[in-house]
Amino acid sequence: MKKILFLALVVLVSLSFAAAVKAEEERPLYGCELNLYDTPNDDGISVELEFMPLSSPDEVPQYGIDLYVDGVFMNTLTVVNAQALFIYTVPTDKRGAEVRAEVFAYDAEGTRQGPVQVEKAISTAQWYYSDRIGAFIWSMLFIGLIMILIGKAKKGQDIFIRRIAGLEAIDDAVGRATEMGRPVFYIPGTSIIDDIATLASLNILRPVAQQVATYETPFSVPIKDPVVLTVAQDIVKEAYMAAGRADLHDEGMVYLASVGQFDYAAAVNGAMVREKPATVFLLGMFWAESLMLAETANTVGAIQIAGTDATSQLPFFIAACDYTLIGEELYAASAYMSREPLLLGTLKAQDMIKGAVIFAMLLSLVFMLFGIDSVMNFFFQ
Amino acid sequence: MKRTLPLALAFIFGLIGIAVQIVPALKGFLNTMLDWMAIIGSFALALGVSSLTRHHMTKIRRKHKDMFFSYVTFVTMLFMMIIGLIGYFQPESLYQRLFGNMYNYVRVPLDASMFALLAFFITSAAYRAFRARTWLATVLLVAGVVVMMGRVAFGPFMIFNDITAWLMKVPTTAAMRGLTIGIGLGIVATSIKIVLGIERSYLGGGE
Repeated sequence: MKKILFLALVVLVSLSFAAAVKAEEERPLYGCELNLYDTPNDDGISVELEFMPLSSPDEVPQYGIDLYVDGVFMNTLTVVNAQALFIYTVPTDKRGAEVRAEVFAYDAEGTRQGPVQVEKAISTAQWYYSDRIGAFIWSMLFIGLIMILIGKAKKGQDIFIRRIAGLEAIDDAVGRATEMGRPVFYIPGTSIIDDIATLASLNILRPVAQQVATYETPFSVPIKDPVVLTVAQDIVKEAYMAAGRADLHDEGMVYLASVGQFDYAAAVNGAMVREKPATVFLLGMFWAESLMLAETANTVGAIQIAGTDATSQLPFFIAACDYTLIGEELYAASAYMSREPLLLGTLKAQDMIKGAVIFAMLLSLVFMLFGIDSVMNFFFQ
Repeated sequence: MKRTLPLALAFIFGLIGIAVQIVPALKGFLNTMLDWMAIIGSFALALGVSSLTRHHMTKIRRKHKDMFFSYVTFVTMLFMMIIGLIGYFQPESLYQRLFGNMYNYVRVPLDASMFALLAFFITSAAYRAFRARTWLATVLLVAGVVVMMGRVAFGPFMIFNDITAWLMKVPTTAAMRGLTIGIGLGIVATSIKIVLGIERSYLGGGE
């Protein structure tokens, strides 16, 4: 029995030794893992390179990766063997380019060995962002709803909109300035024209300017961005013409105060202190200057109607101003004031989509409680 | 034509704007559009300077009571423009150093001073907001005091730090996310209205 056990032990040890020797023979001397693939969600002008050294830093302290684009040598990447994943984006500058990567190992003596691995990939452009499908579906749903509701509004269906105090107060605010014989200041934010908040503010500027023109109240629109300036000048001019008071229009009422953030705040604050407006509109995108403008307006005794979609500035406006349009109310203002059916339809669609988002969130929450994340990923990917 | 062309351009470039957000293959075109926006913006700067000049010239011509500030604007603008231009063509010259010093040691500190004034504006706004006249203002006052205490908490007052962390993480984040969803939908709706030509107030008129 003892002999059998001894023989079994010898066989076991021999087999283990043989396996170890075989593994040692199979282990590549300059081991590494190279992965070259087309960059996902791009316009086809790059490929991704992932490289993982497998040899120990003592054996191979450094690797070199030669890169070729369409057979032409581009450059060599030097990778110090830190036993960590190395990631690099290879620019190709054109679509359909073939990128070839050749890995060379530098042994302890610094001798270049190899190539130990060669990989190829072709850069291609993708037709859609795979991670934006959820957003795309939501957008299409939203656009579809807007079109349906606009159709309904055109047919004369009554659309209810809740009262927005800040917009209801515009008439009174302009009337107050007229009675006091003091000017109205309109500040359309301090952002550029491609900011939607600026466009929303310019949409409100027209009815305000028209009202100001009708009441023959002095009007001042200090602007920070030159492109916004040209658009605002046109809007105010047309509003005065629409009110039948083109004679009151003065090119200087819409002017560039300054292009710097705090220079602008200083210029407008100075103008407020000197001219003492009775009403100040602060509608659009604001940053740190929001409170400076709102507080100065308060100091000179003006009624302030503010509105922004900058969530970090909203608390300041709420604290300092008489009326504040919170976030989406700024975007609803144009439809609210004009009562045009086409514009009202979009407001209703907004509310319906908001309901759908809340439903999708609750549904995702319930599924996530059971450990199923796919519903959440589908809706909010 | 005055209305149709801008509306057509808004429609075409609006659709392209949507497409570049969905199709990665159009990313290169997006960069071209952004370049053009910068070019148009720099042209508009000339219009801005002309507007500023006209505004202050009118004040001086009409002998406005505050025309002194218009003189200050002109003098400083021309001074910086002249030494900036001379300094550009004469690198390492006195003018270039003067321009740099005027910028770094006059304009930048003035900018910083304006920013520093914010502390006083916050104090006066907080004083008015925190007057506990209604129960909502009282809630704001209590929450504000707790958060302020939490920011400087030590020793046994560390409980305020925990309450602050909870206030910021749960109710504040929930309210902010609600606002952000509404704002996001508002932005999309406004963009669609502009692209489809439904919203045209920004063009100066309805018809």
